[in-house]
Order: sequence, then structure tokens, then C-alpha cells
Amino acid sequence: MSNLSDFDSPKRPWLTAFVPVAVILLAAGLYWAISASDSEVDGLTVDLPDSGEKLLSGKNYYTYISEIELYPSNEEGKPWDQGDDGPDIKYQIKWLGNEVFESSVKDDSLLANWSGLQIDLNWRDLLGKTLSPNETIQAARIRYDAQSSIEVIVKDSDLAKDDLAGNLNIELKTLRIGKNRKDFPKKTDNCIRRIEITVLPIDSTLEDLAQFMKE
Amino acid sequence: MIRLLILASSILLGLGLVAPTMTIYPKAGNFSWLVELVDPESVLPVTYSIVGIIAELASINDWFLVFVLSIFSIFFPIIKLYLFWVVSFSSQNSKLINAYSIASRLGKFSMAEVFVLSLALISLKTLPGGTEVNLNWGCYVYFLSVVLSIATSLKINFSISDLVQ
Repeated sequence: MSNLSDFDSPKRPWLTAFVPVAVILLAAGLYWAISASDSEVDGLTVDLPDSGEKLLSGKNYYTYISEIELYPSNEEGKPWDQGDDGPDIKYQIKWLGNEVFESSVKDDSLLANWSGLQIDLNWRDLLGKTLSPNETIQAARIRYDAQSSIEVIVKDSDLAKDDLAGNLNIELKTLRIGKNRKDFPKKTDNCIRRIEITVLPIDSTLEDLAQFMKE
Repeated sequence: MIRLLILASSILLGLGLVAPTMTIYPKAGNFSWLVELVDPESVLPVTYSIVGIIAELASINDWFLVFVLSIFSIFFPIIKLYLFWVVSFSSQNSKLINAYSIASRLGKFSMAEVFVLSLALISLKTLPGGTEVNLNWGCYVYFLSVVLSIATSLKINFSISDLVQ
């Protein structure tokens, strides 16, 4: 038995044939509309650590200086380097009397930035090098205790002898998650105008850390 | 019956073109964690529909593939269903019988089946760095539309043979 019949044949089959085309467009459009409204409701959330949140006692944190600005002259009121060059800035973090982190040197600058992420690769590393997240994240690891503090020692790195730019004692209870800006006046024993300390929970996901450190 | 098949195939084709077809999970081998750290967005899974793939190709100006994919995966299947619908209304109109023979010929050029198969093959292969491709429900819906379209074609063929006898 045939399914094809002329009984119900429309006079203009070419026009009615647009029915499947309309159905295709309708199905596609309907799905598009539904999925678009769904994605608007869901949104895209990035679980970044909340800046400004208090540190929790006993919890571990990555701590690094994201920015240091020095005064234009050293402790003696003289230019930093012998010539016109600016200071080569580096810093160390001491916690509980131990040096727990030393930064890389930022050459010829009064304003130095560190991202908290750094990868040092040599040509020979191409033959095979295993990198761990711990090596890549350039920050001190500290445990929060309200009574505890960290010492930030900023130096002008020189070949012969490093010159001290300032030695700051930062109480951990004054820090919050995220960036903490601290300003200091020029003194005979301090040439640091400003530092920005970044504190991030160690148990953050890699994605969250990377997102925050890139900002 | 034939028209129902055509309508079902049309609905599935419409859905299959815009529904999620495949998801790519990018990996960078042993350095995946590093890429996640430095550029987290580049390792986020990406889901494409067939229309989405074509739009992506257009955005990188790969017009040859845009043309090939649009013609063989969108326009030919639609034209085929259009002609099947025309034929389903009359078996004695010689113009419509011609339309059916055109549709049958178009079927040979339609790469919808090949497209689905190639997607399946990509999903089975392991890509560099451990990158994975997973097929989503849109692919199966599209495949079902192709199957219904083939069934429609066979049904029309049988019907025409019956009439001739």
C-alpha cells in the first residue's frame, strides 16, 4: 500500500513544502531561546577568594609583596646607585625569625612589581624538567596567628654589598585576604614609600590563585 | 506516515544544528596544571553546536570549511526534507517525481552521515596532550535526524515502486 496519494495534494506543493523548513527553524529557534534564558540564569561564577576577608587562625597563607615603591633617595639622602640608574629592588620575608622567602631582583626601578607567579627555565630544561605548583608560586608560606608578625626586608641589590632600603615589621592581624596597601614616611632608617602585600589562602584552587595573581 | 517522518526528522535536524554537539577538554600533557595556572581560560572545556562550529570557523576566516560544512551539513539536509515533503503530496505529478530524484541525488552529496561519523571518530581518538573530545546529545539528535531522513527516503522509494507496479 502506498503512502503517497493525490487525494490531499495541495494546489501549490512547492509552497507548502516550506512546512519542514519552518519546523526546522522553529525547533532550532525554540532551543536557542530556552538555552539562552538558562545561561542568563546560571551565569558564570568565578570562585575568587573574597578580598578584605579576615585571616583565620591556624590556616596557611601565601604571602608576597606585589608592589614596592621606594623614595627617590637612599637612607643618606643620596641617589640609589652611583650613576643615574635606579635601585635594583629585592625583598625578603622573615617569619618567626627565619627567612622564608626571597624575591627576584627588579633592576633600575623605584617601583617594582611581582606577580606571585614565576617560572625559571633553562635550555637544558627542555630535555625534561618537572615543575611543581610550589616552585611556580613565588611567595612565602605562613600560618596565621593573631600575635605573630612578618618582617619585610627591602634591599637595593648590588654586586659588592646590598644596601638596605627598609626593614618593616608587619603584624599579621593587620592583614586581610587580597591586597593590603601600607604607606610609610621617609625616615633615616626607612626609604620605602609604599608596599602592597598580597595574602591568599594556600588551599585556594590553582585557577583562583592564578586569576587573583594576574589582577 | 511519510510526512510524520519528515516532520520528526525536521524537528531533530533543527535541534541537532543548535544543540551541544561536542565538548573539547583541552589538556597540555604534564604541563596541564601549569597552563591552568598561567592561563586558566585556555584549558576550560568548550562546547560547540554544529552552527557554533561553523561560526567559530567564520571567526577565524576559514571560509572554505564554512562553505563546505554549511552546504553539506545544513543546506543539503534541509533541501532534501523540503523535496521529500513536496513528493509526499503527489506521486503522479512528473515534476514532483523529478523532485524526488533530485532529492535522492542530493542525498549522495549530503555529508551529514559522514560528518556524524567523523565526529564519532574524533571522540574515539586520543588527541595530543591528552585533550579529549566528548560527543553531546546534539550529535545523537542530528544522527537520529539523518536516520529518519534515510527511512523517509526508503519509504518514498517503496511507495513509488508500489505505484509503478
